[in-house]
Amino acid sequence: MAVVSDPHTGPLHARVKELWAEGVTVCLGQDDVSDACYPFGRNNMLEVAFLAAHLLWMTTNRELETLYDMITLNAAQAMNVKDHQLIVGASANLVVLNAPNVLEALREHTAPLMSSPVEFWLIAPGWSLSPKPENGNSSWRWLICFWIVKVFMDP
Amino acid sequence: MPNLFDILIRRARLRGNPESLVDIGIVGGQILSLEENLAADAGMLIDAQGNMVTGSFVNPHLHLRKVYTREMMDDEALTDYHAEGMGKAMTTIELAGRIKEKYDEAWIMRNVRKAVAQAAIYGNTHIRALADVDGKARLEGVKALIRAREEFKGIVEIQVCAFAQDGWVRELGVDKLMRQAMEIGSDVVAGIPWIEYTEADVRSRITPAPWLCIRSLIFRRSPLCSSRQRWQL
Repeated sequence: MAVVSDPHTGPLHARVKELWAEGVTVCLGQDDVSDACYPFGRNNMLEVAFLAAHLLWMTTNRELETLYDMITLNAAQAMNVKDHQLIVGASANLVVLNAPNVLEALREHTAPLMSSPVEFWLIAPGWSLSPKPENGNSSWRWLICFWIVKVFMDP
Repeated sequence: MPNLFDILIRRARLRGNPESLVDIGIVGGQILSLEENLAADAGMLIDAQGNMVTGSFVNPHLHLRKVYTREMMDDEALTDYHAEGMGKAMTTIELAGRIKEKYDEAWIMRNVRKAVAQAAIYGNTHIRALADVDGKARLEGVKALIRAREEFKGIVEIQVCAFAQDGWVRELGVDKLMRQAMEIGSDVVAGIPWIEYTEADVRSRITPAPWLCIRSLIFRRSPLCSSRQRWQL
């Protein structure tokens, strides 16, 4: 069993720290994006964890690491997604962050430099991928933009 | 170890190991190598430049069907939802219900795509997405999210969750709709126990596992409608 908490969308939420201390799998969800219950939200889980750090008063290094687990490993467990870890043999669902550590990632909660559902690259055969680091970033952003436009123009 | 990877991420910093930078070799969507200075080439080379690389973000709870509907509501709903102790959450749910009367496939799909595309940009690769199932929304929400699940396959994995937002037993006909939602391919079902009239009503929707197994033997069907389905309360 796992508990998903969304402390940013309402005052009544699970007692995350107590559950975590008891060994329960706890994770965080976005819950709402601009609807009756919550005005903001952009499916940025780093932002969700950043807000939770304040609402749950989880600010020590250990707690920040736990918050990061709550939007990656634990959340995957709650959803029954198998081997969602960065280990040899696991599926390569990865993010290259724009930060060297968890603290910086949460502080800035900016978009990753690259996110790799690897199949994303495989469904775009023939699209010229520029593998060089100096323009690698712009090429993947361009690809995602291209793909979004494609989806929006061709519903 | 292959010397040609599909993707090679160089100079990645991993969690719990801030001192060293490692290379991550990927073939066929699987991590095959994880070591410093991999002597190999790749179809796609990514230089992480010392930034942290981790598992992607996972969002286990999102009302994807309702995204960007706020513009169609007034402040009354929001005030009630956030009132002391969420005592008026019920009023919000009723007000939000009015939106469902305006449900239209065209703008819903546009909103859903926008939200999921944004998830991809923020490195969120897995979403458990809830769609309300009730007398007003019927199965429209589930159908829309199933469509989104197929569209985004391989980019953002969406688990479609049929959600009895206005009550499963409380509202007549919802039970049947929920079963239909499972048949047409929702991955997960969800209820909202506190909204039902009685504890017995809540319990009536939970069948003990042994009986499910016996039933599946008798009626020759899987314990739930499909083995993919999971229960979520």
